[in-house]
Amino acid sequence: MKMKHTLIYTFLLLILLVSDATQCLAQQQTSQRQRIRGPRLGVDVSGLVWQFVQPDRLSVSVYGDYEIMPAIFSVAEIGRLQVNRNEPTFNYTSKGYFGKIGADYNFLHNKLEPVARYDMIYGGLRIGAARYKHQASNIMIQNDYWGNYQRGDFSSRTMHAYWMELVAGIRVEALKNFFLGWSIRGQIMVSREKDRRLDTWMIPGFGKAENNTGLSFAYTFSYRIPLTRVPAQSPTFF
Amino acid sequence: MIIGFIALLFSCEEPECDKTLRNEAGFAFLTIRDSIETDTLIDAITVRGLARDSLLYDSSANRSAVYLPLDPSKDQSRFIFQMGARPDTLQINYTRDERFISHACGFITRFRMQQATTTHNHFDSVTTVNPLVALNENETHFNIYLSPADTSGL
Repeated sequence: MKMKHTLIYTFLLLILLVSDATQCLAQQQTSQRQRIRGPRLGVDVSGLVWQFVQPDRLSVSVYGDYEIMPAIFSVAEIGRLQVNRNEPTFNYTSKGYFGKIGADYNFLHNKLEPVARYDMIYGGLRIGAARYKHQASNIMIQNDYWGNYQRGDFSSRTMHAYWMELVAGIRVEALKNFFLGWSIRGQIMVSREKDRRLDTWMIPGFGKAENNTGLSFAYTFSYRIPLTRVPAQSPTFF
Repeated sequence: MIIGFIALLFSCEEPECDKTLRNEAGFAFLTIRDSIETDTLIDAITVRGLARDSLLYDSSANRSAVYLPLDPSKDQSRFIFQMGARPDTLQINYTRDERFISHACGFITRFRMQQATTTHNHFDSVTTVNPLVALNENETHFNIYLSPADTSGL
């Protein structure tokens, strides 16, 4: 079912991409051979979807990228995750921040020019780091015979995690300077601290902590600040 | 697409606890006859915790071992064993710490045995075989040796 969902989404974005391309055909003929450059700032709204599924999990993240070379974008992301789980026998809370830096390569850079010059089908790499703390409170030990025992709290502990990410995605200029994007990320944990008393449930920016690999999706809205115009160039490699 | 999306959401739901968290202490009944330890079946045994009304075993027949829950709120548990006219009281002293099992299942207490003592009506002595009582299924932690007088007829 997941695969079907993914295919439908990809298909819809491709339609969007093609319609956008034909629309812009006429107007862009005149102003071709120049590229708008500027930092693009965006927000990942996939965390809002999670809010409906798991209200006890709140995540927000923003990102920015900039085309440092033709077709190559440097990327930075920061975000925050907060978790409050109320289980029958204990409450679990966790909060922390993450940051990711890396680069994306736009495979469409030459393909669609000069029609849809800023649309992207891209692949990229990230390194990610998170700092977070968690704790368990109101721990109850259930015992049918002797009676339940209120154990109290486990104090909070701060931990760090570092991982690598492979990203593949689509980004479409839906309105001038305004982009919609969808991406899929495969993550591999490189190193993380563990709390021997209590397992981490979620690592900010990474997802479920029980696995050393992860798969996640992001849906982004972003805006490019049109700072400068530069002559269009082909990528220096690929 | 809506069905696909709903299916995706449900696949992300957290699992329920899928194990029964058992951390009972196991007591095996033995007899020493001619320097040889032999497992011994008790005809009928009744066990309850001290100052507890409900029974853990009620005239249970042909038992070679009993599995008893330890008190997670105190550093000792006392049990009363009735297997003849006079009951025996068994006291176990331990230290406790709480171990995390999973987010779905929560915590259990892990008990580390320090001392076990018994009265000597039908019991001769008690020894600790495995001092750590953690998540387990019918492990033996203690050997209870029966008085020779009680086993001569078995």
